[in-house]
Formats: sequence, C-alpha cells, structure tokens
Amino acid sequence: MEAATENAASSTASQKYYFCLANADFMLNDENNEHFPEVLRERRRFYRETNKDQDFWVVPNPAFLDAMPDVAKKVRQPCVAVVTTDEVWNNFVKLRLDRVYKGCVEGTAEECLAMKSPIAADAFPAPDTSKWTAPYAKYAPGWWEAFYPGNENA
Amino acid sequence: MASQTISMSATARVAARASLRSSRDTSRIARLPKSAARRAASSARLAVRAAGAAVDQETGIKKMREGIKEAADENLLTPRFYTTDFDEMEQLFSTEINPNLDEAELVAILQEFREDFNQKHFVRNDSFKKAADGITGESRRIFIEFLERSCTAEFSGFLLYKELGRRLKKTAPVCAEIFTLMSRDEARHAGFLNKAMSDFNLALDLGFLTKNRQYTFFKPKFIIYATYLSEKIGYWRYISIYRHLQENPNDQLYPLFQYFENWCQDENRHGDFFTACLKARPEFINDWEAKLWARFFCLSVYVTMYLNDHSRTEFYESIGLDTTQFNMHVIHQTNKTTAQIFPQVIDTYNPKFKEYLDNLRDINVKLSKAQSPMEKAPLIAGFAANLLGVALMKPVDSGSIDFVEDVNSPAFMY
Repeated sequence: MEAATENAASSTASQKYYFCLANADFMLNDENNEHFPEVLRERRRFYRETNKDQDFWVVPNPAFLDAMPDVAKKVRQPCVAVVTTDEVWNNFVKLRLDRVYKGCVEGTAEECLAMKSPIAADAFPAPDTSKWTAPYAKYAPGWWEAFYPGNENA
Repeated sequence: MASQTISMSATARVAARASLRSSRDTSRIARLPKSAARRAASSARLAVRAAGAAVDQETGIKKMREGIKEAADENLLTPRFYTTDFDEMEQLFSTEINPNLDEAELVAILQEFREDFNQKHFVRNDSFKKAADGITGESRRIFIEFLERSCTAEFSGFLLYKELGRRLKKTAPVCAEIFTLMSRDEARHAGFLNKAMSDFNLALDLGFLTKNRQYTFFKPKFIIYATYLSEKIGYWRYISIYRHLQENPNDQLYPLFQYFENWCQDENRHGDFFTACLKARPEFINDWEAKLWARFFCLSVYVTMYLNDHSRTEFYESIGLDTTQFNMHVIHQTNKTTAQIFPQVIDTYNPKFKEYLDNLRDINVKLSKAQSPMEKAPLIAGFAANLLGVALMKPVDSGSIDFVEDVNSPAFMY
C-alpha cells in the first residue's frame, strides 16, 4: 500500500518520527481503549480548526520494524504504531495507553510511514454479546483507516 | 471532577485521621484556606441558612432567595469540597527540591491542556430553554437535583485546582500551570451547568458555597488517588451517557448531554495528569500500604456511585438507561483503566462483588426509611459486614508496565 502522504511527502528530507507500538488487538479493539479513537478524532478536529497539517498517523505493521528485529519480536502480532513528528505528544500517547513500546526512527516520510500490511476492518472477532455490557455499541470496526498515512483529508 | 463521589464520611474520616496522624508526626499544622480555617476554628457548626426561604411552586424546591436554589444539605453521599497540605504538595513537586523529577509525561499532559481543545465548545443555543420548559413535575425536580450535584462537584474541583495552581506557582511551575488549566476546564463545566439551571429559573450561589461548605482535609497522596478516580470515572460516566443517547435520540431529554463527548475528554486528561503525578512519585504506588489505600479508594468510589445512582434511579431511567447496567459498565471500565496505574484494584468481575453492591443498595434503602436507632443498628451492622466483604475479596495486582513489568525480560510481550 502506498505510504506517501500528501503533507509529509512534500518533504523528502530525513527527520525524526516518534512512535508508540502496540499489539493491534490491544490498541484498536480493546473495549477499555475506546477512548483512543476519541483522542485521535479530537486532535484531527483541532488541527483542522487551527489549520495545522496533520503530524500523527496510525501505521499498521510498520515497515520500519524490519530494521529493529529486537523490538519486532517484543510485540504480539499483528501490531500497530501511532507515529508522530511531535515527541511531546508521543509521550502523551505513552501516558494514556501505557502498554506500548515507545521509540524513535529517523528517515523520510516514505520510509517511516510505510506499512507492510493494513489491519482489515474485520481483523478482530465481533464482540461476544453476552460479555459486552456497555449501554452503547462498539465503535465501527475500521475506524483506524481514517488515520492511515495518505488519508488526512478522508 | 465530574463525579465527586468520594464522599462517604467513613472514607473522609479514615483518610483524614491517617492524614492528621502523619501531619502531627511531622509537627506541622496544615494551612487551610481562610474560610476553612475559620470554620475549623469554631467549636460549633454554624447553622448557616437563609431566612424565610421561598419555595418553587412546581417542584417544591427551596430557594435561598428569588432565583437562587438553597444548597442541598451535606450528607454521607453529597459531593465534597477538599483542601490539602499545600506545603507537602510543594515538597513533592518542587523542581528545586527534586532535581531528578522526571517531568516528561507531566510536560506532555501540560501540552494537551495548553491546546485547549474545548475553548469553543461550551456555547449554548436556543434549544436549551425550550427543552427545559418541556421537563415538568417530578422529572423537573429530579433533573434540577442532577444539575446541582454535577455543578457542585465541578465547582469543588475548580476551587481545589485553582488554589493548588496558585500555591505551586513559584516552586513547581509545570504542575502549577497544569492545575490552573484544569481549574479553567472545571470552571467552564460548572458555569455551563449553572447556566443550565437558569433554564429552570434557578441558579446556585457558588460564592456562598465557597464560604460555607465544609472542607475535607486530605493529604496530597490521597488527593491524587481521589481526584484520579473521580476524573476517570467521570470520563466513563459521561462518555457512556453520550454514546447511549447518540444511539437513542428519543431519550435525549436536554441538550446538555450532546456536549458530553468533548466534555468527558477533559475529565480523561485530568485523570492522565494524576497518572503522571503517581509515575513521577512512585513511592505512592510501590508498597503494601499503597495497595491497601488504592483498593480502599476504589471501594469507596464504586460503592458511593452505586448507592447514589440507585437512590436516583428515576433520573437514569428518564434518559433511557438501566441504572444497574450503566453502573456496572462504568465500574468495570473505570477499574480496568485504574489498573494501569494503581498497584492493586478490586476484582469487579467476581460475581460476589455485585452481590455485595446489591446488598449495600438494599440496606441503604432500608436505612433511609428506618426511624429509630434500634431499627437502624442491625442495618448499619449489615452495611459494615458487606463493605468488609468487598474489602476482603482477593484483589487484582496491577500497575503501569513501567513499574510492574520487566520489559526487558524475554517473557514480556507488548
């Protein structure tokens, strides 16, 4: 899948990308992490209202892990990273989610935002209705696709 | 502080006694805000009550004066106002005294508050008044009480955070700015709720509350436990109400609830700040005493909420919620979130836990109807027995992976 982004790709310069890496089921599907799409949607709304270019993305199975075999073997597969050029915000993601590997990678947007394979909307089993006790439905599967690199205007 | 639910007097009494013992050990008398100090100095409780209270014709609600609701009496379950040992709070977070304090996550949450995601969010429109006029009779009284409790809780958070922001300004500038920005959020929430009450031709006299409310003293570490839980449970309560109403728009009684999605993100971020405080001062979460206190505060918060909400089940039913389902969902999710930082939490999925909660609820109903001390005594004993039952349940060990996991061990996986 083409990883070049409309905004970040405007620069072919190398820069630092900070990330929080986690198991995909934990980050994208855990009922206790339903706050996380809310954080991302809020931030995106704020960036649009203040005319800031988006500098954070959800990158499933990031390609940059090929260069970090020791890290790759520490995370249950499939995995996903929240990637950003804002180091301070990356620390916030760690604070909020806790069970994430926090790291940094340097390179071009094309290199650092490349995904080896996406996480399909139906990647996780439907919630067991006998165990889902919330008075509302789960967020629609695939909510994360809006935050893939290249989908900034989706 | 959306759910100022840490209000059982037993909680305050035990924690305050522990606080005062520690305070006495260090031969230091906590400095209270002037109003609380004045109140503490008096040997008798002042009976401050407006003379000749009028009454709202439709709902029977008492007024302090025209347009101003008489504040609800304080009791075991009402929202609390807090004060703390400000000198000790300075000791904990002063960057001069603690040059090695890891502020990375404190700075991260400060940046979130500086962004001010909700600066333009709390704006009312014409639909508010129209909706309020459509809420009549008993529903009106119940709704006004909901607004009052919520406003009082948010306002108490505002007072505490504002004072902490002021006191820490010179010595702990990062924490001070965070407290000040959190007080900004709480002031918005309280103001929004008080304006909502004006749709019902009433308002709270917040200045009066500031001067006359009883303040509960908590040591800083208890303030952190208490406000952490209050903010996180507030997040889960508000987001659950919001999402339920999004899916059931016919239950949307009043437009206030449409603001709950953005509102609850403030609460969640406030909780994150207290997570960062605990991670910066790990002695609060790394010993057996911390485990006991963590479970104690969880128990108090969950029980208080369960009893409060069931005693007002008509409110939750008026917006289409099943009170028990709503409460258990909020408790489970809050407990899981809390397990990311507290060293121990309650096993809320153990069926015995809900049995104890239901017993406590049933006894609470009987207590509210009991007339004589002889009638009350066995009920109080039963209540204590069920609380003890929860307290003695096998806990769940928990905590941030930064503290409880050896992330470099080959066995550890993210």
